[in-house]
Amino acid sequence: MKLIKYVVIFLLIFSSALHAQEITKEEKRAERKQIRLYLKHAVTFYENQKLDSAYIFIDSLLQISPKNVDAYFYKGLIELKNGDTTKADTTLTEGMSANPLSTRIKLLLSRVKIEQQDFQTASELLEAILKIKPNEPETLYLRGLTSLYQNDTTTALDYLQHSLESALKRGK
Amino acid sequence: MKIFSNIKNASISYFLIFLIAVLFVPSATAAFRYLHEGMKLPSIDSKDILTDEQVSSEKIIKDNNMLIVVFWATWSKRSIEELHALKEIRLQYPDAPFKIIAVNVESQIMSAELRQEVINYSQELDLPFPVIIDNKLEIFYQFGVIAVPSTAITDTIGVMRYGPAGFSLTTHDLIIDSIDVILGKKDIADTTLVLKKGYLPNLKSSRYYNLALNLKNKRMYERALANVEISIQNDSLFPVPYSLKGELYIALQEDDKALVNYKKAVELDSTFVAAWSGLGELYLKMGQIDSAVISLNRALALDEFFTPAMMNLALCYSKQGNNDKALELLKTVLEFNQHEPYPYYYLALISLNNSDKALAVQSFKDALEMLYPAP
Repeated sequence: MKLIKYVVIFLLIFSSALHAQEITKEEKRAERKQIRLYLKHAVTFYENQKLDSAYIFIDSLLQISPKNVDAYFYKGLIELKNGDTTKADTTLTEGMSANPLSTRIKLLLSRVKIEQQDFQTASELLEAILKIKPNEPETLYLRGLTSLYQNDTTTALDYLQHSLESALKRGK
Repeated sequence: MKIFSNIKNASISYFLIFLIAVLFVPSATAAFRYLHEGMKLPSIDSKDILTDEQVSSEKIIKDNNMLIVVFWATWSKRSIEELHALKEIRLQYPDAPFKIIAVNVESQIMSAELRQEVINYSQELDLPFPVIIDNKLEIFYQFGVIAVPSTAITDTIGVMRYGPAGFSLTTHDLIIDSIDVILGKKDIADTTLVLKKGYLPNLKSSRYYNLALNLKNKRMYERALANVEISIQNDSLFPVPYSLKGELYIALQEDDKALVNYKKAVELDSTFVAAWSGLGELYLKMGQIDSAVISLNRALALDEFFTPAMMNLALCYSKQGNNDKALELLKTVLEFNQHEPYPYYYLALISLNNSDKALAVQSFKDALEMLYPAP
């Protein structure tokens, strides 16, 4: 009898735990759907140059998904497009902390740094990307620009040539 | 008397056959790298930027219309002239069974502002035919457009018959003549037109060729090669796949095999401009400058506006120490292709050859700014 009692109690606890897991799975699914929807709207608004509307969706997205790499990327992009390099710098630096492996964010942040004439930091960011993607054309291009702005024409030439040849090979 | 009459009829027949054969000798035009007279056009399916109506090349051809596709841009003076000329032609033949599609190839990256500029410009032009914008230049690359303007003219079953690059007074007259001839209003003998019938490949071969081309554009070279082999197996006399095979072998760093295939392409069709140009480019890459110059000049003799040949010839001249001639050629290319990175790339290479680092850097930068503009 005692054994049966324990088995029943165990089964009750087990099934409650399973049930709880089901609810969490459902919630997570709904959350992911919402994230995708917000991102889709943000990107659509961005591509149609409706930056304010895109920004609203991005902010909402970051509330649900505080480390979302796409959200940081687009937020930084919009801020840069609006000419606010300080805000863009903050956003993308935060984005980089949340997503240290994101090359997209590093690349965009390097553009911000170039705008701010901080060529040294820009170079470092770009070199970090080139370690992983040595033939990535846009990265090579921006790296070439940083050398150019630091008056190193020879190095700039190498990077720029490599960049363009890489881009043309990719059928650009 | 009957015998003399039969001989006379036979003579007239043979004369006509001779005339047609002579007049169907292929013409010296090649606006498209991947589209050859005798081939069907890649499909165009888009929306008219002014009326928002669907524009479909397949529907036009299905309705037994001739189709004229013109690639244009607001920065190309000649393409604006051509659009005005086509407007006049359309108004002159309001009921004739041909349709025109004007494909705007303004830029690789179309911002909302640029798009609006093109719409405003098109509104001012007031054209009696649809205007579409080629997003990301997809159609441009599918056709392999080499100059702006470029025009593809098909017959009523959708086969390309005439494809001039550029727009001169002669081209204007020839476009009108080609419409008249294809619609049966004029005899080809009454024109200076040379309509290229081209080699009509078997359908299976054509299909595998198109598949190979799509794979090549996605940089899947090995798979593209496999498909182009099948295309050739199905029709070994179709010259175009050999040229594509040449390109693929270059991408796979097998220059010797590329050479064999380009040579085969021009052997099958001695008027194949893109193949002569490809051969020239390959010789240049292999350091055989004299052979490169011969092949490239061959291409340009067939089509003086084939810009890839012009750019490579410019590089040859530069390597031979003739920089003035090189820069002169590139200037002409830039008139046709202002918004393409390739002319700037060649300008950079020539500058490097000339030890002009500053111009080389600027040219590389100009090209890259086009491809990766600041947000």
